[in-house]
Amino acid sequence: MNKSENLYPRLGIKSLRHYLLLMMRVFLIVITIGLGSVFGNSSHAQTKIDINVRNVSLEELFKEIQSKSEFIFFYKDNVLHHSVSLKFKNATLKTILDKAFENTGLTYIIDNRQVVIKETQPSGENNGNVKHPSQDKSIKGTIVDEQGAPLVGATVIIKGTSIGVTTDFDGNFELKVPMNTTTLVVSYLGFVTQEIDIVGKTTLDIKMLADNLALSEVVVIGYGTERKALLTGAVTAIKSEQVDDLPVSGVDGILQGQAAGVQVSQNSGTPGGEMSVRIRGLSSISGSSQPLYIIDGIPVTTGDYGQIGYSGQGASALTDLNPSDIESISILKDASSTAIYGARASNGIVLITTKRGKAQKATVNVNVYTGVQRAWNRLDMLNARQWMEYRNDLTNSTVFTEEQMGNITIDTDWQNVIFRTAPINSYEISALGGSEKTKYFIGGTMFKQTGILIGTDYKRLNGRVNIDQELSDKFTIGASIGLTYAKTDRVESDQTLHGPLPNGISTPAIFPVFNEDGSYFQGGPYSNALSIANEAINQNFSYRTNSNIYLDYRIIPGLTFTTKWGVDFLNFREHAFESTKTVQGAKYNGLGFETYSNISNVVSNNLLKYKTDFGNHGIELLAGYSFEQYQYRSSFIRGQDYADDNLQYISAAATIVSASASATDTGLRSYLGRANYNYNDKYLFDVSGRFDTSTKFGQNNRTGFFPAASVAWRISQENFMKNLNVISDLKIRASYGLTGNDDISPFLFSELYGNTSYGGQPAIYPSNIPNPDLKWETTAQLNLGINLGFFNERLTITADYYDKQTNDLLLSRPLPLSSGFSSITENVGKVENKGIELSVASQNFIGKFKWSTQFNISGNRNKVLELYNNQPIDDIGRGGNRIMEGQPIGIFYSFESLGVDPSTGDIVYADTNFDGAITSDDRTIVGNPHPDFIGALTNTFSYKGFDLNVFLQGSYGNDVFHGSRLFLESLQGGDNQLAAITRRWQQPGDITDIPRATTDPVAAAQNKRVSSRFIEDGSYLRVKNVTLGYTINNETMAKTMFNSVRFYISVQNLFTFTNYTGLDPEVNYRGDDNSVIGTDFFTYPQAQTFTLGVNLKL
Amino acid sequence: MTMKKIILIILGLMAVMSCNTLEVEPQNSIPAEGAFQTKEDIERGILGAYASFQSLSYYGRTYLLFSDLAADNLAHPVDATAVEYAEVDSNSILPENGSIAGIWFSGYDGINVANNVIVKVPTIPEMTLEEQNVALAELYFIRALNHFNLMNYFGAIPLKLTPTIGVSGLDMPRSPVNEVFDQIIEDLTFASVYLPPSGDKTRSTKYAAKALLARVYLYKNDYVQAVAMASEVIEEGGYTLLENYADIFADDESSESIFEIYFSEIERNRIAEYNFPHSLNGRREVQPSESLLEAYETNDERFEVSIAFEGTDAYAIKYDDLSLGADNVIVLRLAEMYLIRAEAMVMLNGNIDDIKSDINTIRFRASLLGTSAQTYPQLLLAIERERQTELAFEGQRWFDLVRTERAIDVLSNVNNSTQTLFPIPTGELQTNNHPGMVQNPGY
Repeated sequence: MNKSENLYPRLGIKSLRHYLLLMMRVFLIVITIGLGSVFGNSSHAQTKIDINVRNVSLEELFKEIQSKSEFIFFYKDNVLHHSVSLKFKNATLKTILDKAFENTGLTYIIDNRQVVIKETQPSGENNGNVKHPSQDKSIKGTIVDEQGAPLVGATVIIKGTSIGVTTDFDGNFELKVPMNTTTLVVSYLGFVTQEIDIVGKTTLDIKMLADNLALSEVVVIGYGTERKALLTGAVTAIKSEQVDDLPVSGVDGILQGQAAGVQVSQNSGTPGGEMSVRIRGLSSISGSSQPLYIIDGIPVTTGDYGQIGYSGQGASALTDLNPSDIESISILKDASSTAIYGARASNGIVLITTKRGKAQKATVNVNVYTGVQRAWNRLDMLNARQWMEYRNDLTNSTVFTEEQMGNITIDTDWQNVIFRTAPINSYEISALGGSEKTKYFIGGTMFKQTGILIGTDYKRLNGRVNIDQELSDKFTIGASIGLTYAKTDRVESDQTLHGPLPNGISTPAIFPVFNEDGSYFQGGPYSNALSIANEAINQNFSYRTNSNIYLDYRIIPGLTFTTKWGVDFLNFREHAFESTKTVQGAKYNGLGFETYSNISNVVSNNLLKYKTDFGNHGIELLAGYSFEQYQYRSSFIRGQDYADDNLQYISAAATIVSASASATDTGLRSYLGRANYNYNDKYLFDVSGRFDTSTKFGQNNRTGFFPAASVAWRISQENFMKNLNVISDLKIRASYGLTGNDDISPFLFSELYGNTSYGGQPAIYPSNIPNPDLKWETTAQLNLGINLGFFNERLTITADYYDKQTNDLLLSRPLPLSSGFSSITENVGKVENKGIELSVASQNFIGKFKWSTQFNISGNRNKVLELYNNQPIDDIGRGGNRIMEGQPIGIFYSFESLGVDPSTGDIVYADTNFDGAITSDDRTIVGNPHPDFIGALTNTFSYKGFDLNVFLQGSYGNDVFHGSRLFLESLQGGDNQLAAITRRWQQPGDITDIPRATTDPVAAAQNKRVSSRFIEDGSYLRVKNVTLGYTINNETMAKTMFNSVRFYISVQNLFTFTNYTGLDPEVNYRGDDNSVIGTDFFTYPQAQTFTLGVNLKL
Repeated sequence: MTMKKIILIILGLMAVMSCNTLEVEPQNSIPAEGAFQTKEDIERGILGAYASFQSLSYYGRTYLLFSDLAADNLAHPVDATAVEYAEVDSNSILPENGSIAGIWFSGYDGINVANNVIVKVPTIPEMTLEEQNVALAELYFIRALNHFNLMNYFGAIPLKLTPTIGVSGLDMPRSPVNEVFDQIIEDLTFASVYLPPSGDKTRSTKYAAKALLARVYLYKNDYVQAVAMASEVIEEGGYTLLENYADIFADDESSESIFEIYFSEIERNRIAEYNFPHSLNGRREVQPSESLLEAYETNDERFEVSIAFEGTDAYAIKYDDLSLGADNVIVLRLAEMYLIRAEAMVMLNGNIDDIKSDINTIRFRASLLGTSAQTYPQLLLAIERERQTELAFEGQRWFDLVRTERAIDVLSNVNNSTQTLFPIPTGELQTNNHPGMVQNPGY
């Protein structure tokens, strides 16, 4: 609210609407008074002010006083026709006003900061200087939007005054103006303010144009901000409102489907588990492919610090961050926006900005949701009878008699045992506000998610305090403090024989859960799933702070120095214990683990920024110096032979079988800079670069330079385009630059000896082949982009083409095993990623019924161009992923199944080299785990208090290796089988896709070879989220303590359309792995989540 | 102005802190330049070479199990889950088999560690020539045992005599079997000269080298040397056959043991885990096969020491420390020397009574009567069966059947001699570009 807002606009027809408007205004005043009272104190009346004005209006006088004090004036619009001349030094407000109001018929009331001006007599009566009504003329008019719909409550003011009215329900207004008035100012929130010439006019038809809010929006970029209109790189900004209602635990989860070119795959449904985030494809084979996450300028430690393996369902340090603290996320994709992050930039950058205070009355937000989750899909498994029939067929004998099959008493649906309907809850409260000098955001969240798989839980407590304090004209200091405690209950997963999910699914229905005496039945092929979930303790705890402090020094106008010091400290503890009630625990008489990991990264960023404009030239310069010190310390203890099943800590273990501790340090020193020139907001140029010196590399190649440049031409700013009203924005962009990836283990460049022991004595062995030339991998990226806006940005289209060439890959290339080493990390090989990205946003309807659509689609083509000596990296993961020249990373390479031979019932494999035998040389490309396209579509509707959001997300053209079928369709062994095997081959002539059940070990092994038999189309389309909300309007809420209340219901993963036969098409059992992609191996599926939420504003 | 002071302080702090940003040292490993400087460093290096034997792919589990599994001592149960074990049991192994690659790698790992220390030994000035030779002897023994173990599964193998320090020269051909034999014998002969006659049984000694030589000569069909070496060990080694067969596996370093691999709860072998049934918390990836159960004669004391039953499920129990995996794994023991000498003497048409005496030494200990075999062929079969039962689950059966060319006759799954060599792992073939690195026939 403007401080000089009119108190009582002159009203025309006193419709109901006007009263409502009036009420709103009163309401706003009440808020303002409240604001004042929050920050007011009794000393205001004593404030001393200097005033020296000549012949100014009272309004100008008030502005002058306001600028020199903290007083706020409230007055009616037609009281200020008086002119005054005053000269005071060190005067109180009372002295000034008493003098100014002499002979005006006005009086005032001072209430703390508020000064309310009143008339001593009703207005309209001639009193001194007041102009006569006869000197006014009346102007009438209608204000409509582009569609011709009337705009209600638009403000019409005489230019240079505060005299004005607002439009009525039909968009009409009538205003009496002095005869000499020439110009009216028409404004309405969300529209471009217009000045209307009224000379010689009495009626006006005014059409308002929607404001280009989108273009003037400020986007966070590397070490700074930029107006969206002036961006030259490929940057996608996500605002918190877009993702507020998603019931996801982590930052990576909310990125899914929000930006073109960003592929987010939830590797598993593990609560608090990690996801794979790929910005513009995979550019590394042995280094990391995760983007660099930066929170408020400080890089975030990500990854899995668990020392107890849970196989692809690991913990994620990223999950410690609370999504509801986020104000905005910028995804930097091209080289010109990422090169300023140098040697860590080639996987893209995710810049996260947390909420900060504003100079406003405190608003308190309370967001609560509660919901339930369930497994949306089940595998169709054999029941007890079908299992018995299968076993009889397999062994070609009567293992189970007809009588036994007719009297089945135990028919356990193990999926009912391992899956459950599980609650999810989130409670968040935050306060945001501040004064001109002190601003704060304080928030706290408790998030609890019980897993749909037994034994899994996630609980997180977050607190955040962000404070900014202006010390003086020149200095501002501030702090961002984020604290997290998280506790995860995990279960072992697919790679062990002790995971509830694989064990549950793989246990035949003929086995009971419990023995008759109530103990766990352990006679199945795998240890009892329920016993593991109930009796094994697998917990990890995160104690985390991600905090920084900063000082801004405005040296001279335009020149700023900022120093920011941050720390990301993670203390990660794991506690595991298996009592003797589990198979694993019984083996060791109780088995326990205790691990600690301390990860600290101290960062110092020091930036000098200069910004200046002269004429049509705009220049921005940035120079920076940064360093980071990373320390990792860890310890690990494994103990067994526990005194008692109830004592779960190592002190109760009689035997310590393993105890170790280790340490790793790395350092990074960087110099960075950027220069930015723009001519008349039309021609934009940007160059940036960074020198990084990293201890991860040897002396020969410690320092790398990463430059980038970009240009953009805003064609829409050219005169020849300005008349084309249809097109509101047209910008073409080009950028090119180099970025690096240094994400490998330290000291791979040196010749090292590792420690071990033999016979109770210390021992050493060569552990690393030296490579003193080791350096970062370099990605050269070209980006060509276009931004198009139509109809005043109601329809916007952003399209980008990129070509990323990654050279000097950090390749852990396999060595001949006969060398005694399995691999060496060298800079060899090239990978290419090319792709297109398209985003379309449109406001289909605005006004009372609003409908907007956001759509993005992107396709990336990944190709390995060069490897060491054309040597493929073979047979990675369970699905036979392979890295080979000319193909995408992790292509599925195995035997091609031609189907079941009707005469033998065995799978026939393609003899691709026609040598008459099926050997490993016959393996061929049988699938591609990379999607052709990924996309998302969001439709948002609102009408009156209702809002509806429908978010679809999908992936097209990717293959999934359904590895669970290696066991669930093995047709041998003791594993339960999928119901699909009931159509197996049983006699010559059967035409089917499922081979025979046989005890012939050779045939059985051949039939279940890793082959195209288990590769399925993993394309899917998900109704990822549907949220329906209702906001109780302000009129009603004005009578309560709340500013607004919104209720909503939300469904996550409402529908999934896919031909994939596994539990979930969005899987990767190996977690965030570069090359083992698209492989399902008893992977924890995602949940379908129904939530009910409320947002309260106080 | 105080602000300027603050900025000066910050800039000062920055300078101080950023100085050491780039000064970091590895904390978990030793830089090569400091690794080998003293006699103690060499000692640690030698122990590092022994440590490679503890790998789960090696004596920690797989190497040991696979010799009995590929033959007819162990079988892969129908309800077990490890595909790689099923392939070995059925003698239809894919070159991609990761367990096979593990055996290959752990053998060469041991060779490389040994070679690495071998080149360092002459550079330690404080070691006398005598000390250097003792150190080298121990390292040569380790290198020879690794080469021998690899050759038994894979046939011709690359002969590695230099350490891997850079990436050049890593493409190696497969050396012919006789060249590998010659090198093994050269290494072991050196070891048998310089090593002390006795000592810790988890480390090599003079008689460990001679005992291994006896086995090597037998495999090489050099029966004269095999008899000589076995006799030396039996007569001069100071080892005694334990009266009670069960005692051999009851304790580490018994007087019958010649050389064994050290295991404690830290290195833990997982042999028992893979043998034991589910109901005893094992994984049961292998079980004694029917033919082995039948091979024991009635009243053979060794049966109950070797095999136990859980219900009707038999399982091997020579290494039974399921909980800790801390039982040492015996590589060489005296009983084998008697059987080597007996077999070599048969091949040399030696004195039948002496041969029977050696066989009966083993049989009497097992509470059996003397062998009824009279002719050389009968004696060979008797020795074969005696080795099957005496050395069951000790990783010998497959090698015995292959070296005597009896695999096709005895093993139902082996129909072609190409199956008697394991495939060279795919990973080696793809990375080793020497034209002499070729796959074994049949894969």
